[in-house]
Amino acid sequence: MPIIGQDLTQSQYYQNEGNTPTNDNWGTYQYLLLEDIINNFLLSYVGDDKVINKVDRNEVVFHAKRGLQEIHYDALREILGFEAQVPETLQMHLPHDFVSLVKVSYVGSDGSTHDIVQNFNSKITKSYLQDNSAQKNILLDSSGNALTGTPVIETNWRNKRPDGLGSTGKLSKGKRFGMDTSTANSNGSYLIDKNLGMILFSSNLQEENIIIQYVSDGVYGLSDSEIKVHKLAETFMYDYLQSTILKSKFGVQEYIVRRASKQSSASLRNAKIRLNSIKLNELTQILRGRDKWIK
Amino acid sequence: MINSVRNTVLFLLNKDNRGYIAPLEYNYFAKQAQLEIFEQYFSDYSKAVQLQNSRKKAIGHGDTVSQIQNKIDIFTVSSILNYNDINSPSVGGVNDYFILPSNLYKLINVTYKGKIAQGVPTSKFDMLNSSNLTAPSITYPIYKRNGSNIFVRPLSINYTAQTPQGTEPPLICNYVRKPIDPVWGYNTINSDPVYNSDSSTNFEIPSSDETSLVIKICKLAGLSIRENDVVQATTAMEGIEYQKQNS
Repeated sequence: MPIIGQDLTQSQYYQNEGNTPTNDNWGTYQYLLLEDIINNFLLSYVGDDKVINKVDRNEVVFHAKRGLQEIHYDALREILGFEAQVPETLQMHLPHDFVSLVKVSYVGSDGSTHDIVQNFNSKITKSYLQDNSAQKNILLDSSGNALTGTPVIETNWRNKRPDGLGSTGKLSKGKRFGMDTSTANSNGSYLIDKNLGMILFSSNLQEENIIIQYVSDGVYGLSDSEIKVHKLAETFMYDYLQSTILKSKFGVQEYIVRRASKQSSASLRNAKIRLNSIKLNELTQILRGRDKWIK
Repeated sequence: MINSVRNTVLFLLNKDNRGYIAPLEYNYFAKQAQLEIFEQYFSDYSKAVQLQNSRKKAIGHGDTVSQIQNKIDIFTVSSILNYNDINSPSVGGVNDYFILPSNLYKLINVTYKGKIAQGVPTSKFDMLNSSNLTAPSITYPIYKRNGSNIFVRPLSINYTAQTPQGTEPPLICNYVRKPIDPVWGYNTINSDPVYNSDSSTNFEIPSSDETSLVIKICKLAGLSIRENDVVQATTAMEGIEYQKQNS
């Protein structure tokens, strides 16, 4: 387990004092533990002579974790990557700590990634099995629950041409100018169903290594002593805690609540600016690409 | 201090031959008076904080909040809690509990491996246990109190029945204990009780409360010997003392 929020010796940091994994403590100095933030908050913001005179720790823990989730969605954008090979079924589950999708791409032979576009013209649905009667009644099991099967969309999707073109024939001759250019590229496309927790890839991506880039909430699978917060978001955490606790407290004057709320919003803005880390040379480099002459 | 307080009390009570209290009576009155003053600290502290928050208290020598805190801190102690395994040897059962010390007056906190366990009311105890974000953990343990027993969660905080308090680091309780009963010890010489410091137990409250002690003991003694003058005088003196401290 990485050591966070404590001063490390050079040996601890670079080589984890010989313990495996030796890279466990790399980059830990940019974080501090949520546990420390909660302790600091209870020490410095709660007391007889403070605006918050008394608060239960479980409330602080609740708001701290909620604040951490919010800042993960909003400002931190610590994008996680999930790499896996597309199976023959072309179906891939979402990562276990998935909250929101950022980008899907596949890894090319040169190691660079190629973006895969989302297909908005289809939808993964639940398919109900029907009998052969004229009414096409839905089949039920012994418990009275409807039976489901593989949706036709999934089957047809696998047979779809990767370039976004439909079947060619005499009737389609000379009629290509209505093509959907947003999905007509050789990188393939995917359908996502967040509810079912799966992604369906186009057939040209079979056995390709795909990368799902996504955002999580920063608390999944971590024990209370492992949840960490970026130092640039520390002030936001304190201000967020103060604001949310004051909002739910009875008898606090409205101007105090409003002041705390404004402070929290300002801190969030500051955290976003800091965490965005826009550097002039990087911006210049990106803008250089726009100066190309197209002949 | 116990002897000087007794001498003052006797001097006041014996004036004009109004009465005399025996050592045993004095010990009872001293215990009662000390307890009253000790219990008064907590309500005084609360009032002092209110006055401080409304900016009616001076800092430095007038900082009564710190002064009372220092008085209470004399009685602050730590103790390792004993574990009661109900269905031995099934350690960590839902009905297992820790036992609070018998001399506890006010619980300050309970710690496990340096982490403070949060005391929660019974009504919230189960709710917290089933909460997804705030479920108790080793980092944020909780407990509910039932008389002198406390039930701690998570259940991994326990001691094994075979080696009590051996394998697990102990659950430690920081608390304000009750004051020890004062005793004016004596030897009888020529039919008179003479003070013996070796067999005596001094007052535990600080010497700054000696005046209050004398007044309270005199009042109790006045009630005992049915001397109305003493009761009236000490009641009036108590009122003046109270006004002085709270103005």
